[in-house]
Amino acid sequence: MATTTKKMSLVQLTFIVAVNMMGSGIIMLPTNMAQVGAISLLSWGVTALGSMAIAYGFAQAGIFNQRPGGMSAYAEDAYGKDGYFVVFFLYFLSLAIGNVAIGISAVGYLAAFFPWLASAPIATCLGVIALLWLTTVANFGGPSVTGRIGSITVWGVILPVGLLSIIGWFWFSGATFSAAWNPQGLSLGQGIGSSISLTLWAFLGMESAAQNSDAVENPKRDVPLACLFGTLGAGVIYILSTTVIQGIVPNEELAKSTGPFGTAYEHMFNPTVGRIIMVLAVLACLGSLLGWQFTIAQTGKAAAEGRMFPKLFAKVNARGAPLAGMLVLGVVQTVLALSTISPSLSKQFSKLVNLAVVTNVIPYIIALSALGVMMKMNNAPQSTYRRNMTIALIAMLYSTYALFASGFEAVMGGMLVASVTYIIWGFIAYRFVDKKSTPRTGGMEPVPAQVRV
Amino acid sequence: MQRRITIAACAIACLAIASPAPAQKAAAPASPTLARIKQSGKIRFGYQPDARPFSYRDQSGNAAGFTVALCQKIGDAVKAQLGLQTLTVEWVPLGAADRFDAVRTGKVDAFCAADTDTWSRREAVDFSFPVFPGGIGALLRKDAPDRLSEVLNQKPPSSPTWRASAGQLLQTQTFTFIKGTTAEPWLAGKLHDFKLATKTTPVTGYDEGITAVVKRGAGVFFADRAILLDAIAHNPSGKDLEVLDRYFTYEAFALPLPKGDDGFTTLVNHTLSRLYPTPEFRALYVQWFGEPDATALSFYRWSTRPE
Repeated sequence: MATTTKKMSLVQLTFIVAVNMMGSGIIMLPTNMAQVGAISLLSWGVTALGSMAIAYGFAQAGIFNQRPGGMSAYAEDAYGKDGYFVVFFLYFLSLAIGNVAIGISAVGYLAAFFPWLASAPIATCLGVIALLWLTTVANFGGPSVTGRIGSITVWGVILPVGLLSIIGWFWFSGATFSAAWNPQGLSLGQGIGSSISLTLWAFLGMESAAQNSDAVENPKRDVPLACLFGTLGAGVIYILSTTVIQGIVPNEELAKSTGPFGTAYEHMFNPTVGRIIMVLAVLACLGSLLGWQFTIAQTGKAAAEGRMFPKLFAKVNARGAPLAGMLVLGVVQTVLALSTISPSLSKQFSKLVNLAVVTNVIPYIIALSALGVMMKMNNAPQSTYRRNMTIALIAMLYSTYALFASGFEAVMGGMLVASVTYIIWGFIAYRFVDKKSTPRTGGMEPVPAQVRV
Repeated sequence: MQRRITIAACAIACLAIASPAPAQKAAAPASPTLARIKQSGKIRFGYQPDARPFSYRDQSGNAAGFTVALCQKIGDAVKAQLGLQTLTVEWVPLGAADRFDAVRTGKVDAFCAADTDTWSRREAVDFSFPVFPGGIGALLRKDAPDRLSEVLNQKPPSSPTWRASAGQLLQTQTFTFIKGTTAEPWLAGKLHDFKLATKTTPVTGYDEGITAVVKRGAGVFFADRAILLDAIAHNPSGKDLEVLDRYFTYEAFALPLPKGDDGFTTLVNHTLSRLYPTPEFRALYVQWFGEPDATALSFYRWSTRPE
């Protein structure tokens, strides 16, 4: 067991959650929303509430279950070891693919400053591989170092986005905002409907507190709080920043911007400030990649410790970083990144990225559905049970809608990957059968959470 | 009774033998063009030496191309209808300036290239059934961001927008077009609708435009869709390029024919209508344009008339 000095603090974990969520996704969000009109802000009403329900569900699960593995450990309480494996493997794949895609986005943002990065596929590919390794190596220092770097990169979100949410109101023009409200003349339903897909997946990442539970000082307190504060903070910043910006930058300009936060600061101050803000946004994107590289290593480590993944991933260095696993992941991601060289392979890769949304959301539903068992095993009061199950139901329905909205192709890809997951499980399931006891029948008999370490 | 039936059957059979096919009967005597072809034993088609893949002069100096092949079919049909043993086909190269005059004055019997059927042109010539779905198309690289083709197709994002959406349009998009073509005013009027950060740079010809896209100097090249398709089929970098299915403008290409010669026009149209559903025509299309898309298939279905 690592000593507490090597672990993360609550604030650091909260930053990781918020930056993981917003880091790369928020950069183009105002532009995408402006293309529909400010009416798209109403979609936050649905997506922020649904996402808060998921975060609340995870926070509650974190109170009852502190075993490493996060969502996988929650799923285990209701489904046993196979539930752990399915959630782990689907989520792990999602991160492996998603992180490479974040790297590609980051290179895209960097190309605004270094145009040669976008000049040829080989340049882009080298840039992506460099960023993937940079963020891998930065994690070698273990949780505390990652936490400290995260405390720096979080400024990439705080200054461009967080600050705009506060001081932006001094530059807010009601006339600009109302002109931006509904430039296409959509009905209320159309306005929300056509923009919900822009904000629906913006909160993916709220689970990263739970995934990193092994890396914090006091998981029982810190994981639920980081999950709630991180998601709440991200929600407030998302809503305020995307609202105020529509009253600062005229709709037509915002809808065409390739760096909307930079454009906003350019309107408020001058082009130089706008440039600096764009640099900071790239920093946030890198910070988010760092956080996700950390999260995937932790997820792999927990599974390896549970004998569900090669032992290699559980080997930690003196600072508590699963070095060997990180190196293997770095190689795998490098191979994925090579796909950007070939036009046809990069098309295939973008299909994988869509599929990764599905394999990210299915674990939400499985893990949240375990909350009921956890509460019963811990003799939670009936009032708590009712309240939590109601909110968890909203969270699971919302997740199901997010799956539906991912589209046929992504859901089909996710289904195929899930099938492969079960095939793999078929080869390792024997490890978890206690030969002395009777074989398992259909009913589950979860081990009470509180007796586990 | 038996005898009456036999007589009636004989009468019907005799009538059928005696009268030629209705179309031939209607066309043959009424057409001055067909009369002249029958007299001289020669048909003259105009072609455009520089409009590949529709009409061009190949390396051996002969007329070649998609519409040239259609006109050869028309020549075969004329020969069969007029019952000629031999029919000489003469190919007359014409420039963009004199092509309609050549048809109007009878210098050629038809013009085989890529001309849009318009009302103003119809003052001088007639047009056949449409021979090709023309219009402005967009050429881009296959590895262009998905969002770019979605914007050009006016579609909402097809993939989930999340932290890993690498297909966002993060750079200013460069659009290119050939200076002086219909794409220029069209693009100027449409640019605003795309809601993209864009700049436009004109080029002087197809090769230059395609090279700009291949070398990433431009993201999209707007030009005649069919010629872009041909460029993909023949450019060494063609496998890295794609032409969007969407037609940004709709222009039906047709063959300019002599004004007021219904008999000849009917023969041309009937020949085209019979040709379109055949495997032979599909092979011809594939030869010049690759596999037909859904738009092209339905275009030829609608351009076919039942017998």
